[in-house]
Amino acid sequence: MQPVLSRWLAALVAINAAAGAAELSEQELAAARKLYNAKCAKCHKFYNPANYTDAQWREWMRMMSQKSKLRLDEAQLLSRYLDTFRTQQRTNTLPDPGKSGGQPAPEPTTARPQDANAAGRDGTSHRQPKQRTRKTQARNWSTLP
Amino acid sequence: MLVAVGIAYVWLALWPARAGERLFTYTYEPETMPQGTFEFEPWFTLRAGRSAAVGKDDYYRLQFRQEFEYGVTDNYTVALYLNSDYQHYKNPGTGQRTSHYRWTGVSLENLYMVLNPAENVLGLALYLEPTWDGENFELEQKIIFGQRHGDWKWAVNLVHETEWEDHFRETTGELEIDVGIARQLSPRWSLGIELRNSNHLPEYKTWKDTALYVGPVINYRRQKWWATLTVMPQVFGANFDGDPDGNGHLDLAGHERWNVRLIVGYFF
Repeated sequence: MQPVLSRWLAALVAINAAAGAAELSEQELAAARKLYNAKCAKCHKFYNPANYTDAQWREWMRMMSQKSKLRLDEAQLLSRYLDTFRTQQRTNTLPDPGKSGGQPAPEPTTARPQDANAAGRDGTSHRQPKQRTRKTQARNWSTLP
Repeated sequence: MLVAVGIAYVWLALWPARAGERLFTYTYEPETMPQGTFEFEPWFTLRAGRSAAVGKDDYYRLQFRQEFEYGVTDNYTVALYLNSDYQHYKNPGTGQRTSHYRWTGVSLENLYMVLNPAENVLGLALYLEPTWDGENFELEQKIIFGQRHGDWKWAVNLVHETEWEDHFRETTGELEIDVGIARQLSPRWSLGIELRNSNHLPEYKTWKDTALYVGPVINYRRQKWWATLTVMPQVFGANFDGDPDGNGHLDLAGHERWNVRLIVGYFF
């Protein structure tokens, strides 16, 4: 049963990642933030999705979803939510995913000092990301939660 | 018996599971487990070094706890502990050595997270743990604070415990403060320091003794399991009912010179 569920989760996460972060409604955003705080931020610091390749991120999302016993719909929502941070990183606007002001925000004006601080918790810069090399990606892989 | 317990611990240490690590062994953190998750944690505590002046030369005590922990909701975790311990000492007067292994009862931990540190400035949890061994009853309460700041994490526990012994004929109160601060050095390792201050109040009439322990704590984690070890020497202690242990700066009558604790966690 567990491997089947695992494959389902992986497939769902992969579908979402491939489709890109779909637009999230306000209700979905609130639910996703709550989910992030209850299932992710409670146990570990924020790991920036933009620092990982799609394949790496999908694999970690699959493993962490299993670990925190996320339901399929929860894994799907969280995956969509966190994927928006990958987009924001590329546009230099990365808020704190656990704070109410941390909704995906395409406008640079929504980024606050404390958000930047939170976003940089994993030791990565929240400034304009540099082009990642294969070596950098490998190092990031080893620093996953 | 000890050999069997030792073999069981080694076997468990080699058995892969999944992780949800604790950064401290004496200090609890306010976070509860995600709903539906289950964890098994064998505990091993060594308490060594009491004074020959109180008849306990070569003293050491090994405490074993098997904890089965379950996340009932995202804010409430319950755990069942099976407790036992082994004690050894020599009476310096008679030279007689005493060793015994005994069952020390069952505990039921209740941890309720009032404020999630991920959503609030400060994390807060309340803890209640009754223990019963057939003759003695204990009730432990903790107020747990804590927060994460990037790679740093700290926690403070205010602890009160009442022990009713000899079928409720004797009562002892205990007050304790536990503090821990740790830094994540790498994805696998965290290193920190723990502080523990323990006080006994027999019958709640006198403040019998106090002891302060400080020492390093190290955590190692893998995807499927984790282990945390604390080694704390007593750095200060005092007896307030005379000087039974003949030691001016430590309490070696009611407390030990060394407290060492190892917890290994397996996540299912």
